[in-house]
Amino acid sequence: MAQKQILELTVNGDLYEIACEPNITLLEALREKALLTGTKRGCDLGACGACTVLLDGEAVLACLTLALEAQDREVTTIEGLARNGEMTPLQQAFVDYGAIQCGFCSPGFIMSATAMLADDPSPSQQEIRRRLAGNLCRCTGYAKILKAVEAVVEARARVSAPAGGAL
Amino acid sequence: MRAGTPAIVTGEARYSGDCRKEGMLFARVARSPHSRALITAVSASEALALPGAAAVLIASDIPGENLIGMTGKKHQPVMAETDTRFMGEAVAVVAAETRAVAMEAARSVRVEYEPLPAVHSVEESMAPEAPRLGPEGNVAWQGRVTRGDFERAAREADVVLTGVYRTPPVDHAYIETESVLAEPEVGGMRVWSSSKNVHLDQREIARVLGWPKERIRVTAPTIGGNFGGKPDLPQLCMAALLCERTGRPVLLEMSREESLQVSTKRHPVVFHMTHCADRRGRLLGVKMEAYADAGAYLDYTVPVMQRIVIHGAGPYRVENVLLEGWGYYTNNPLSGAMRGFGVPQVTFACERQMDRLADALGLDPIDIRIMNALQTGDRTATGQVLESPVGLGEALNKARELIPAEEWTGSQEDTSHTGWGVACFHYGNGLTAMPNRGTAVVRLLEGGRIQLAIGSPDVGQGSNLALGQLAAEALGLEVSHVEVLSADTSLTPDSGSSSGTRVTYVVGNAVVSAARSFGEELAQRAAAVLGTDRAALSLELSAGRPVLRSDNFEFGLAELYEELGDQERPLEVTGTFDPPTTSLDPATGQGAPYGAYTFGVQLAKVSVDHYTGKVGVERIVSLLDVGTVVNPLLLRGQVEGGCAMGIGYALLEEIELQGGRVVNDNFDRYLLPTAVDVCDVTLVIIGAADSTGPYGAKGIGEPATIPTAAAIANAVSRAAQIDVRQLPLSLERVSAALAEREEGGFR
Ligand code: FES
Ligand code: FES
Repeated sequence: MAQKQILELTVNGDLYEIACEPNITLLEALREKALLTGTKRGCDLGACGACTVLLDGEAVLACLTLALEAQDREVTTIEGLARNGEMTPLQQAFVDYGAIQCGFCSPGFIMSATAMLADDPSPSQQEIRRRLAGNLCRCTGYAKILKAVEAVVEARARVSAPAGGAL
Repeated sequence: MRAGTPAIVTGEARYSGDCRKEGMLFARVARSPHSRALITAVSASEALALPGAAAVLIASDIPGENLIGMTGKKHQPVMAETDTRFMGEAVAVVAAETRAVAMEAARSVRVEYEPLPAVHSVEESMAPEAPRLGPEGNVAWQGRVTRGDFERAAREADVVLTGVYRTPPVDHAYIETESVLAEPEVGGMRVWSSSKNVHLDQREIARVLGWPKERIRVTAPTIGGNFGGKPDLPQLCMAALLCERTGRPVLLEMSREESLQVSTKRHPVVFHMTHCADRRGRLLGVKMEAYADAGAYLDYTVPVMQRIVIHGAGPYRVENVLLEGWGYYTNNPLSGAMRGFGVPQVTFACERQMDRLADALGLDPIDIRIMNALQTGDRTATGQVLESPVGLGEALNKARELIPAEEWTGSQEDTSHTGWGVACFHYGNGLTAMPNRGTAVVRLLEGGRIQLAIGSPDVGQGSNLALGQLAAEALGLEVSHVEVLSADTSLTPDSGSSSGTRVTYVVGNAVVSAARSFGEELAQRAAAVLGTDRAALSLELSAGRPVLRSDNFEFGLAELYEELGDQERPLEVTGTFDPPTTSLDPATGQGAPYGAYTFGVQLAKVSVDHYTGKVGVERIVSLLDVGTVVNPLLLRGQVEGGCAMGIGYALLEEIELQGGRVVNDNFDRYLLPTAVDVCDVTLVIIGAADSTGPYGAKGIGEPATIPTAAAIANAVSRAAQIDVRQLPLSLERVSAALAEREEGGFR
């Protein structure tokens, strides 16, 4: 068995010192060591998106990322989105639009969509579909998930259009 | 949407694999690498000797019975003792301090096998030289529904149309794999199971442990999807066995590969159909022979095959039917219950026949269905008179209005064809031809809180919310005044399973009855406390708070609770409902198997690429008679999700078995529909209140997915002018059919 080492991970702004084998995945580190179980495992193979987290703001699959690669970087998980009990507009939209049935896929979808919107604040419907095609949901048929994301995009457009003016 | 959604979007919701307990052990199953083999020796010593290994259990360690089943048939062992019957069957289970050691220990269990010839299809199982697999031979189940005289109908018919249809095995593919946590509790054990029936779990664990069931408390945490497939009973019992042996909490999870290999599948079925009609298209007779692969053990093959023969003529008025089914044992993974219980399969076969019949007679596919659709007062294939309103005809008429004729026939472009297809269905709500009582309890708790307790878990479909709404309606309150608690054997009554589209209809009726009696009980107690007349009091909202009100005062529920004597608390009332069903005549299958039926029509528009064979689903219109709608958002969610599952069944999904091994055992090769594969779903609600449902409501969980694959298959057949007989419509299958069509000339 490989030698254990101490890994320092910054997750949602908190520092975790984790004693582990050097080859563990970020998913294992988060769920088993940091006990942040909001990040889900659906396939452990990069095919379902349930384990999506942000690494320096970019969406990555935690099951395909070594915990080591996340050292000295900023990890954000679903637990880190809400601030002082206030949910992000995306989280709120998932609740309001009924984008959740069993909810097992929801953290992954919300993280993917969060990264997408940070990247491109006004994606088209087609782009939203495409960018979320790496996340599987067996319950909802995706319609309400897409609607929730579109609603956030539209709400932002309404807020920013008058200020930006030039559109 | 479901109750508790905020916890889900913040990551706080706990699924069974998220629980972590002090001193928890990790478990792992040692599984058979053979589809069929004798077990000649098992040695656990090497595994036990590993540092960190805590326990290794094999079949002979089981203190109680080593036989389990989700249905009345207790036929499958928790762990194989003398022989294994499918690949991946459990042979031993280990618990260890870490996952890595558990994995290593499971690999170190030494099992000696003597492989035996195995059977991997219905055809092989039927062969005279086939090895004998079941206790009474290779036929696991056979049964029929027959009425009238099919042979005479066939002689008198103007058209007799036959066809053979095949459907693949598919997986539930809930994104959460199966996991179970069992932990010791004073005097017993607590088990967390992502189950559809915690009370059944409790009974099965009790029999296997040889314990009285009261010592075991089973609770469902948040459940990551079910669709008929959870729990895996062997896994559930193995976790409990390890907990009993070690006295420590034990977490037993499945990897995706394990789940796809060993969990139950939708029955693959081969249908031989014969439809007889007169010149105008009126159905005179339907004959069906359905051959299903039961897998290694019986269990769910009984209710699934019953459903198939009962629904075998489709939702049509047919005087002469001979609907027969057989389930055959094989050494494949078990076939089980999956959303629709056999009816998506039979709907594919029936609805292809209806389209082909329409073509043969030069009729419009909607016309032929309207002509034959079941109506209020008609008899079904089992002779049951449909006394409640049937909205099928109305749905078909509406379908015709919605899609203009010129769009219906589709268009031919350079590279692709488009076209519409239609499929109808009916689906009996509740378990088949047996008592299946639903029970609900309503309680008054401290502070005047009202709690609704039901045993049936919310598996993600939102049943807690829908049942809470029904209770609130019956009490004349808002849903926010009813706390819903479900799926805990210590705190909730046995309401039966969340399956068979029975929760809204069966459990919902029990909820309404409990809530009504509870309202009455509150008023009576309050009258006694206050020394007033019961008739002067009513339960109402005052400033957003439930109170008992009379002309000149209000009495709060918190105060009422305080006035109750100690023995009267909590004040609780039970309601039950058992749907009005009969058993079926064993020889003819005649009887009334369900209390209510959901009906519907689905239209699908597809495009088929000439060159690649790729099918795209562009639009779905779902017209449903679900009686009264309890919650439109939840209903829509079920329909959208059901359509996506149906798209997967139609186009993508098939468990590929090679010698009993699942080849595509993860989501890189077992492909599910993604956000780019689904389309807009238009939902149209038809029909009137059901006369037996709660406020006239019927169920939607399974019906949501039943007609989709059939409608797509009909659309593809029409658009590409091919004759679809088999699912899924993969690129290879469609392009082969297109090539064949080209060779044979354009039809
Ligand atoms: S668990 Fe990482 S993609 Fe599925
Ligand atoms: S809500 Fe269940 S998998 Fe998406």
